[in-house]
Amino acid sequence: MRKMLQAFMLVFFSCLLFANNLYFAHLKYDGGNWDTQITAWGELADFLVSISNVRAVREPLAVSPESPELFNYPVIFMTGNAAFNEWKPAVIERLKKYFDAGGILIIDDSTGVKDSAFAGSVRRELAKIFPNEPLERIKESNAIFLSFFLMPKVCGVRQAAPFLEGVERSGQLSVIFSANDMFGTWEKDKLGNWLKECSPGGEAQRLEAQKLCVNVIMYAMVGTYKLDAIHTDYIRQKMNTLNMKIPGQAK
Amino acid sequence: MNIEAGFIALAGAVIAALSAIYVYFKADRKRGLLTALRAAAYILIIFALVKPSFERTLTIKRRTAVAVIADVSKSMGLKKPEDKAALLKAAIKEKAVPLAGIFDVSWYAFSGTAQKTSLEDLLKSNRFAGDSTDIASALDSVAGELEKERPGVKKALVIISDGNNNGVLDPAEAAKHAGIPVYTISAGPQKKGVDVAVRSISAGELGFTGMQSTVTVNISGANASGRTVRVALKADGIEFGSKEAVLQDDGLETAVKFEVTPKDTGLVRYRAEVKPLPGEEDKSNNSAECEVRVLKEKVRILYLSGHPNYEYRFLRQVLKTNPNYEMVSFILLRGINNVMAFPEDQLTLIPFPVTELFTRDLPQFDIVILESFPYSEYMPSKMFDSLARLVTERGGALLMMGGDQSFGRGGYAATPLADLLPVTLDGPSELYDTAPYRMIPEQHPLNSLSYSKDGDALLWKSMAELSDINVAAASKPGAVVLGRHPVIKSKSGEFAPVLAAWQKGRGRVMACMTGSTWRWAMGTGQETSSGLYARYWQGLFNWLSGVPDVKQVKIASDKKSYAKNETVRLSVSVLDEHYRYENAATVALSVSDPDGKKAREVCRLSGNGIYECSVAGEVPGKYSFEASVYKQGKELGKDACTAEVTGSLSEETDIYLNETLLSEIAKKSGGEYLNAASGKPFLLKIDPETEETVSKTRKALWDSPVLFLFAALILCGEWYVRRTSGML
Repeated sequence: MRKMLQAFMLVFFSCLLFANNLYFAHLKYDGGNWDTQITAWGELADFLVSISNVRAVREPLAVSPESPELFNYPVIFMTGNAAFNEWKPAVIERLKKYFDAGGILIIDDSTGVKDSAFAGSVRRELAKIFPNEPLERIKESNAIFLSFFLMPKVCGVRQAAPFLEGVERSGQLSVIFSANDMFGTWEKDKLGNWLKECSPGGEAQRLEAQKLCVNVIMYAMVGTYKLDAIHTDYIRQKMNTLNMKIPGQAK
Repeated sequence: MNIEAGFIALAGAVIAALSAIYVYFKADRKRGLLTALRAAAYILIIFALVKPSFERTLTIKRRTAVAVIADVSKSMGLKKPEDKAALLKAAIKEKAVPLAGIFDVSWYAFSGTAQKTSLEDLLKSNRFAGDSTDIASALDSVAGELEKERPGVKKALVIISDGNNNGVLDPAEAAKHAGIPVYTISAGPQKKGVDVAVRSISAGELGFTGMQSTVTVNISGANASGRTVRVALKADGIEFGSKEAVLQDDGLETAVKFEVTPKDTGLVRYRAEVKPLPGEEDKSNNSAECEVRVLKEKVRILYLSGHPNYEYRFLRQVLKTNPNYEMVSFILLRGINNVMAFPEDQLTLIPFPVTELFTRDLPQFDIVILESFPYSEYMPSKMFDSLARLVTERGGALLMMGGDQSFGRGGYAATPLADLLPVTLDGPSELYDTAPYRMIPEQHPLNSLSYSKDGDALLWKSMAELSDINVAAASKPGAVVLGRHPVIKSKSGEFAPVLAAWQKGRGRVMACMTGSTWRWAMGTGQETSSGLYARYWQGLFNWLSGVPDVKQVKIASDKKSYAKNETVRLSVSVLDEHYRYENAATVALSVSDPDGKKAREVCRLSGNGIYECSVAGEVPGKYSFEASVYKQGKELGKDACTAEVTGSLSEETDIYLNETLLSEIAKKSGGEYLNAASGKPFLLKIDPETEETVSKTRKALWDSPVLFLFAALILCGEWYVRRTSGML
């Protein structure tokens, strides 16, 4: 009975807040494994709801690039741990339209290995979607590193790459790519213990990765908000006080 | 066909029959026969239970609709240096006629407007008398007509023309908005002598005093690749500066940019001139003009959002990419109830400066946006008094966006803001519905996304569904409702307003009862609609800030330039104080000819708030027109425009092809351009047929008397064998 009531409340509130909820909509693709971090999303949603005003929904969704629902989600997530099939031209065209409309794709390599087979497949398909806009290293001065937490370190379960990559168009990131299995840091077993051990930095590394996840999602919701002058002055002041290096400036 | 279950049953029957034969021959024959009969009976029962059926899908193939639109304007009748009419007819015969064997082709002739005709008439006619070449209008009307006549079928447009457009609207933009690929075929001679032309001059609609902006002049040349020319820019007749530019290959444009900083408010007319090249004959295209309205300063916007959300992200993109706006925004990234296990120095959050904003800084803003903002947690409602003063006394604007913390649901019914809004709010129990719906737009200039009424209807139909609405109790008298919910009604009995606006005191207020207009930007995946979304919101923000885009009175001429003695047709669009069409006004037109001679005319109503007037362009030079609109002795507004009368009609001097425009039309719409003289084949890259499912029929295989009879015979057979064998 309690479970039924919980389910009813979940459906009720999901409907109530539908328009601007954050759904963890996963891009479902052929070949490989598109659903790798099964328990992470509920944990991440709970964390977001507890520390911020983001209205995150616990239950992840699967969305195919060819489905009409794709355009209901201005941010979609893509994870994997193996090479996947080449996308058909129709899928490429549809994703082009998705990005042209303002959609954002957040990709996380669940292997945490640099240049994995999954990363290779991702790069191959992104090159078809953005032939003139390659996946490039996201600068430290990007709003993504200021969107909620102050300059979190780029890491995940592993530290395959100390940077995020992205495709920037019209001043906004359309694609954000992490090689470090950052969403894997949220996975828990049935007893509530963290499923994956973070290495080499242990729990401190997990905390940084989780802060980075929050920043990435916050960026997907509010864009470059934190680059407005009213914020940058305040942030610069704070970084000076903390003796932190301000991106783009000599310390 | 859907007979999988039937096949399973039949497979069972075959296995049973084989088993029975095996038993019959290898063992007791009678037992084998009985087993076969029993198995057959069971199989028939299974066959009936799984209800196998045949499904037949009837599809028809409909041929793709192609409209061939031939230019019959006066310029196509020019005989020198080549007979353009002959080139046109040759292009029709060689390139367009073969299409009729593959596609469903309809034929149109156009000049000012497009008219349906026949292939025979197009080939026979020697009447090239149209005074204008309005490609945008032709595209718009033919695309609309095709959509009405052939819904659901793939379509393409083919334009055969010299490309010398002199209509007011941009044909390439019109082609893009038609949503159909436009293929263009040239009909005319290519330029032989040298020529340099100012293709366009643009400086944006608005400028601001003391702020630098860019005037871009695009020039191109014919047979003059690599030559250097000097481009001069004049502001209101006074030379501002000049720059040298190198001409590119034919058809390619070179952009020359001038940085200007207007000093005074008002209308500034920029004119770009290029010195003719030695030996250049056609000097009529060596200059171009544009107008910029200079305002005092940028529009400043304060955006307060209650939580991180997509509506903010998409609207921010619209506002940040428009140089006319300066936005300051605050989002409540963290609520007062959120737990924060991290020290403040790890966060980038700044305190919400409520007191400074509402007591000190508010008068600096022109527009305030409140989007699902939970005011009660952050500020006392008396803070809203200063917002009310900003709107009613200082002429500012307020936009309230929908959400579960907005309008009545957000407790705003009990604040001074409720009086400002154009809708009557319900209390905190106000209905906030989250079922998807398509907004029904009212006919209003603010809802105009296209060049025509039909185009607007199509575009609005293609917009994605919204997914939430705060249902107001009613729209207030005097409010202009721009869009309504198709099903849900307000307590007043009207369909619930989605977008409503009004003038309040000196300022303007808009209630957008939804927080999901970002869905218009994302679209449905059929075609990208983020441009429409941005354009629509730009229009709404322009209205809110009172910039001239949506003025109560607006005057425009039907063409950019006129030949001597040609009629200048002027239309004055008039809206009332609530921005509805005003059909009971007096519109007086003051005309000033190039010699300074003044005259007055009265414009006549032609419908939907449009008043028209014609003036003969007898003197070459610049004519100035000013419309003054009155209603019951009260002035509604004034507007002015100018028109250039040249020594000759452009249709009489446009000898050569404008390949740049024809290429651009094709490129922007997804079609292709073909130079008819190139000898290349003309191919439409579109499927010749569209498959359409007309009906589906299903026939049940199990529901048959024969099957019943067969089952009865098997059972009788088994009874007979048992009886004759003494088994009963």
